[in-house]
Amino acid sequence: MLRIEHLTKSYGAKKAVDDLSLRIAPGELYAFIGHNGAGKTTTIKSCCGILNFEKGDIFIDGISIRENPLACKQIMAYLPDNPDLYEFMSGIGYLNFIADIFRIPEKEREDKIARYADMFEITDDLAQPINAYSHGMKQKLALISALIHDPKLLIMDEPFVGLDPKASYQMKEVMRAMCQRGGAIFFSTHVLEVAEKLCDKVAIIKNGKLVISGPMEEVKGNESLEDVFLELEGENA
Amino acid sequence: MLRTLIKSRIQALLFSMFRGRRGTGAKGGQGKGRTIGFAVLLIYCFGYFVTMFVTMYRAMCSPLKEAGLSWLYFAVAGLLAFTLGFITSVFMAKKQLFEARDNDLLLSLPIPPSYILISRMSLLYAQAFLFEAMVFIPAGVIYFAGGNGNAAGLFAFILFTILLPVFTMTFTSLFGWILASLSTRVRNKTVFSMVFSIAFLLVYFVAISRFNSFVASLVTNGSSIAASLRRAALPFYLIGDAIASGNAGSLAAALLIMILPFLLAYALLSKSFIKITSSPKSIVRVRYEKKRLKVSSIQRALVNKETRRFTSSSMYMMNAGLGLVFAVLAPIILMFRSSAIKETLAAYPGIPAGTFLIGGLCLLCSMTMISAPSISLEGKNLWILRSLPVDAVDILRAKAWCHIRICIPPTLFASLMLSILFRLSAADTFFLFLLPLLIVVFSGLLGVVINLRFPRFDWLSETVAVKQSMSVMVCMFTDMAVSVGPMILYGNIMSRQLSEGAFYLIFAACLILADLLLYHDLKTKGAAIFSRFDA
Repeated sequence: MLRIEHLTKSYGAKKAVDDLSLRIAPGELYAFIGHNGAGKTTTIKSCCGILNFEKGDIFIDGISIRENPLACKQIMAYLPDNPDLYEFMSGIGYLNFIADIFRIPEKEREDKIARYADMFEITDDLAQPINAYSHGMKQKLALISALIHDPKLLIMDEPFVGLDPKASYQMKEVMRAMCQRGGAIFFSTHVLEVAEKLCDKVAIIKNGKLVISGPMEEVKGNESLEDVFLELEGENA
Repeated sequence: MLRTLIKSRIQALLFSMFRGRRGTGAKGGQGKGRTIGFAVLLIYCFGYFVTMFVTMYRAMCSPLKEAGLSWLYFAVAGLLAFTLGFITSVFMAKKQLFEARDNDLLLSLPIPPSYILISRMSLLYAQAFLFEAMVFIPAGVIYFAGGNGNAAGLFAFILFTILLPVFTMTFTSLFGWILASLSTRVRNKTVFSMVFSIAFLLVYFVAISRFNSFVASLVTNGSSIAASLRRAALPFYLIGDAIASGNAGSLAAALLIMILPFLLAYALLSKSFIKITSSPKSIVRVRYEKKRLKVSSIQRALVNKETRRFTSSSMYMMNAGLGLVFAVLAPIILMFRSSAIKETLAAYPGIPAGTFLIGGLCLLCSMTMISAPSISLEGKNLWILRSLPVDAVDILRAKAWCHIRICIPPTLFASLMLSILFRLSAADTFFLFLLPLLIVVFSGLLGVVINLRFPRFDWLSETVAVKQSMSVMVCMFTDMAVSVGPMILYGNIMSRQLSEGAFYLIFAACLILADLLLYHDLKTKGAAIFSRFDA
């Protein structure tokens, strides 16, 4: 579903991501972990086609994001770490705008918005302007907008930040259900316990280079993911 | 601590003006070039206003001195500096003092609110001083360089050059405080700000429109004006008297009038600073009722989004849509004061009435800058458009079309009204409709094309994108040059060689060609540039 091949991205002289390759198959829930500034967000943004990169290529369901970004964006969704949404719109206005962009029929969009808004308990607030939303509410709204077109691939940057426990639980349920339907999820997180319990596979990035990746059980062995991560972080530190 | 705060304010101001991150395509050299370009434009504007005031003071200085009214000369200069400083910075005062985004952060630190307040007031002082430099200082230079006045007067002039901005800042701060207090109590802040902005603008333009006749009557009829000004604006009389005669009593009284209100205002604002900055936003909670959702095409959804962006911000509407207000107001005012335009036409005998009206309306249309900051205004939201499956051409077209569709109704209204009021010929009427519309299309497309080359995504306040960006300045000057330049050229040079109809046809053909070229650029290079923006 997602194939990253030799991705390299620099900011001036600094290589933020260095020759990174990764494959995520349909149905997989893939965690992406690393220290602050390791290159997670750069990798994620490159995958979503919102950050240009110098070398390598990224394929979404076999389509190159470089060559056909619109086709890629049609089947994927992105949830940023900081949901900066259109504050001049109401919640429902924003969701309807996204639904228009994905050409979702009227009945379908009404049903989906109602289902997800009820699930994340923001139905009553949908008429409010987004500038009146808390961080968590914006996160929920961004998540609904990401799910509204049933993406095959969901890419998220720190999706649990700002969510209340109930919303976090609902989100995990949505993630599991999506993968069971054959979709794939690639997300970064600093909450290693969540990654350990939720994900099939994990990739650890350090200073722009992929240190280790593979099935969760193989990567962590008999240790916890936290121990493995701290060990890897300690190496060559 | 206070020095650090003031330094950080100045750094923020300079950063927002010169060093903000442009689009990702900007390389070091280009960025430097743009900074220099922006500085040159600023210097040009500054020079333009200084020249304008120098010309005025030259006309005023000798007659008033000969009439023994030198104090009036300085009183007028002081009053002008105060008025311009006040009108242009009162809304900035509200935003700077009470609505700054980092108020919460600073208040959470062990910094006395009075320090935060004074650091912010220092910027207002700097702005007031800028107007002072343009308006007040030239008056003194012309007066004293002409060998007038004495040492005590010169000392008073230097003192007031420093202190007059304090007087302006006191009033802008107090008025900003009143506006901020009122806006915490109203539901629709956009309408509230719009009403106040329009009221201020009307006062400003009434003052500007009567300015020339005021200066003329000042020269011919100074004594009676002096008497009334002395009664109505005592502080400015004292300033004038202190500088012109070196009167120590006037100097002391004027200083007292300037410093005392500042101290009182500072004490008052310091006391209420936390209350205003921390008062909850008066958002009335509206419970969502499920209803049918309106389905739109991608293009319509994008245009609606741009329109919503424009109408949700009073600052954006007032600064970018000023031409529209004028386009609607101008024919209404002319209904009652058609003699004004006839007098103006008589002053320029070479320019036919049709050309004058078409040129005037084209100029008003070119003053609308909705599309020029529209890409920069994406700011932190850029990721949304970049992550959605939308062609860059559709996004850019929506921004240009939003500008055009907002401008068309007022433009047509103005064309219709002017053609009826002045009973123009069929040909003139046709071009009165056609040429302003072509200018609207030109302005809409140019705004997007230029903003793609000069984007600013890193703003903290949208004011930076709308008012202080290179894109807006370049568009403003280009639009104005394109809209009235050919008319001036025709009226002054070509009117004997070329009939009006032929000139209009050539002008229209040139505009159509320019519009097509801009649209082509938007679709090709523009779309490629937008696709390279990193979110």
